[in-house]
Amino acid sequence: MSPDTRPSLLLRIRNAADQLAWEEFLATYEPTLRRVLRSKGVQSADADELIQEVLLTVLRSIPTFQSNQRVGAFRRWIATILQTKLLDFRRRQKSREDRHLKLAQRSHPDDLWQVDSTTIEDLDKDLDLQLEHQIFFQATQAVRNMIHETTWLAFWKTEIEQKDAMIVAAELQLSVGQVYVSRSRVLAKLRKFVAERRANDEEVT
Amino acid sequence: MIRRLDLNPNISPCNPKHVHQLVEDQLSDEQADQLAQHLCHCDTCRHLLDSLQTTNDTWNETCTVILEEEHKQTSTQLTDVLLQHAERPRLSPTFARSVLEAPSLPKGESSETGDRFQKLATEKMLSWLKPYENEADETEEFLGKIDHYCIRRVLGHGGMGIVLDAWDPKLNRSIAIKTMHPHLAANGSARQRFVREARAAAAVVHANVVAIHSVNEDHYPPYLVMPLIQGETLQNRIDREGQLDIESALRIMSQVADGLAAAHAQGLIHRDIKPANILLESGTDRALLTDFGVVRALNDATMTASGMIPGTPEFMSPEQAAGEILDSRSDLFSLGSVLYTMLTGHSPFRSDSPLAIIRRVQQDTPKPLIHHRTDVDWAAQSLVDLMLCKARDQRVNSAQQVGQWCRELLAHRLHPSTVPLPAALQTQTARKPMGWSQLTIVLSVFLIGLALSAGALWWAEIDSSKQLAKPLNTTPSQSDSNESAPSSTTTEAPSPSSAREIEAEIESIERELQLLEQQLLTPKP
Ligand SMILES: [Zn+2]
Repeated sequence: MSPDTRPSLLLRIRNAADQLAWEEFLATYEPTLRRVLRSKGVQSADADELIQEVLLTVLRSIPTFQSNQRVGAFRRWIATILQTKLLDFRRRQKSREDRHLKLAQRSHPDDLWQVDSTTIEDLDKDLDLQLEHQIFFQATQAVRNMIHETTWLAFWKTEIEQKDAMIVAAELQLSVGQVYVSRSRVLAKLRKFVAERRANDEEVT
Repeated sequence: MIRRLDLNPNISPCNPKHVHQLVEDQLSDEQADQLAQHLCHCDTCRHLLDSLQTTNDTWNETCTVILEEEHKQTSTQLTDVLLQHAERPRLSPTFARSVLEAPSLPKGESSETGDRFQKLATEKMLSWLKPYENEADETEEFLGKIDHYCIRRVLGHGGMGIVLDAWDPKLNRSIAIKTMHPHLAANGSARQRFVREARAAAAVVHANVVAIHSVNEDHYPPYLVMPLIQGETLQNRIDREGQLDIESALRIMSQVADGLAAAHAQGLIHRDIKPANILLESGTDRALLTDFGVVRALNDATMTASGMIPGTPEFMSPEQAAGEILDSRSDLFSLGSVLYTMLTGHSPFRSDSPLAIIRRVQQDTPKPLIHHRTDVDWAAQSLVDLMLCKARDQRVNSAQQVGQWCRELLAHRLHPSTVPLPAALQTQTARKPMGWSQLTIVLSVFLIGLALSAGALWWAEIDSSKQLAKPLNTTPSQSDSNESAPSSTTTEAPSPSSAREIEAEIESIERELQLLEQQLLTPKP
């Protein structure tokens, strides 16, 4: 399926019968949320729990989500849900820690609180960045199947593994020029895939 | 460049338009082939192409994420479990016992499944080794080879890399090889950092620093060759024996401080001083510092991708926990935490979440040594205090000084009548050593007894005094309202809702006692 012809992901997951859309949503947002939480210092077991909560809330309240027709409204809505859940989690964690550190913490009782009061804007930005990473990753999975193995490897080794083009050329028995051309062509395909996916996912009408 | 092109009739002229079209993926296959041929010989066009595809930090991060996700897909959950264990804070003393950041499984969990898991994980980790062929009729069996080194077994591994026991047939000796996990080495900047840090560390030559024989970056993944030290880590020893006797602790500390001084003299900061990075050679009294910046370099590589604090922050300095720029004094704070750990059997800033540990590192004063043992003298406490100073300009300012003081303290303990205590450690405080320790013991026993018998009443008093002591601008939080509950029910015994809570309260009372002591014992001006 070409990404530019399908209806937006949001519209599709609103349709409860579209199991595929929901799976696609999970494949994109689950790893994305995990990385955002990791960047906020949430340990993996806690992250599992939080992600569950966020995704369930999304699933339950997507029928009532009111889009304001602005680009990125859907992502921002998820950022809002994430912030609520994250604050709940911090409160639980804090009261648990307080019982251990009652007195030690007395002099600066709200320090941790301040450190962890993450704004929606903040989370929205993190989500945006991690979504970009995730969609690029998904692009590599999609593009790999569309092109010749050697072309793919020339890209992977030089761009992702950051090996020297000369060495890669020798490894793959290509000319340096072919390595350069392969890399550029794959990069262009990836960028195209990502641009289309993002435009499509953010379309809310 | 242009001259040379003109002289060679086989080379097509530059066509920058085609380079731009390549970036937009608008060339036909035939045009792309022509451009490929041209690029083989034309630096100008290659530079143009590079400049059109300059990478930024976001793209580098994307590359790391792609590698991470790719690795997750190809390696099933095995490595995930490994990484999860490596990232988990150290919960039990047996946990941090390997040479690397963390072992794969805590000892307690090594059931039969654990063993099978270990075996699978090892195979997975080493799948990239060259197969070993028994060429010289060796009697020994090896797992495989890296270059000419024959690999015997895995000494330790964590989320970042592997340490291997190996045989060097050329020099006829056993060595240790430390290598990155291939999936991390695939990241160019992580690989470069690993190599750069290893080279810097290789420049430090000192009896108390584990030497680096060679750094091999041509191999993939890159690896270091180090001598194989027979012995155990300081962490192992503390896990096994608990607190060390004071003489041993001072001996180890003076050697580690000397090794660190040699590194600091080269302008190197260790950044990750902790008992697991200190090796104790068996059969000798030698202590050696290992892992200069190397493991930290690996950690940082994964940290930029995940934003996560790797391992446990227990031995970090306050400035490190705050993410500030470090100098050698940061290592001295960590060294102080190591000294405290040797003397008490556990690290000074413990808690069950990394964030709480970081807060304690930044704000808490650890309990005086006298709480954990009665045979410490005041000078040892002064030394620990000087090393664990939160403000770096008030901290002891050189590793050399620490080594020197440790030797003087040791000499004094062995020959108290002939060797005086270091003057700086005597004058550090006006508190009298004997009166201090005796009074503490008496007071502690008395007050703990009182606290335990008076139970709720005592607790309520502390609690209400705490309420009063709070600054007025404190934001009330959910937990505050929980805390104030006991003061309204002073006549009722606390409901023993959980053993954990009672334990926590006793701990709190102990802390309050500590504060009381300090108030009582601080001489009035
Ligand atoms: Zn040219």
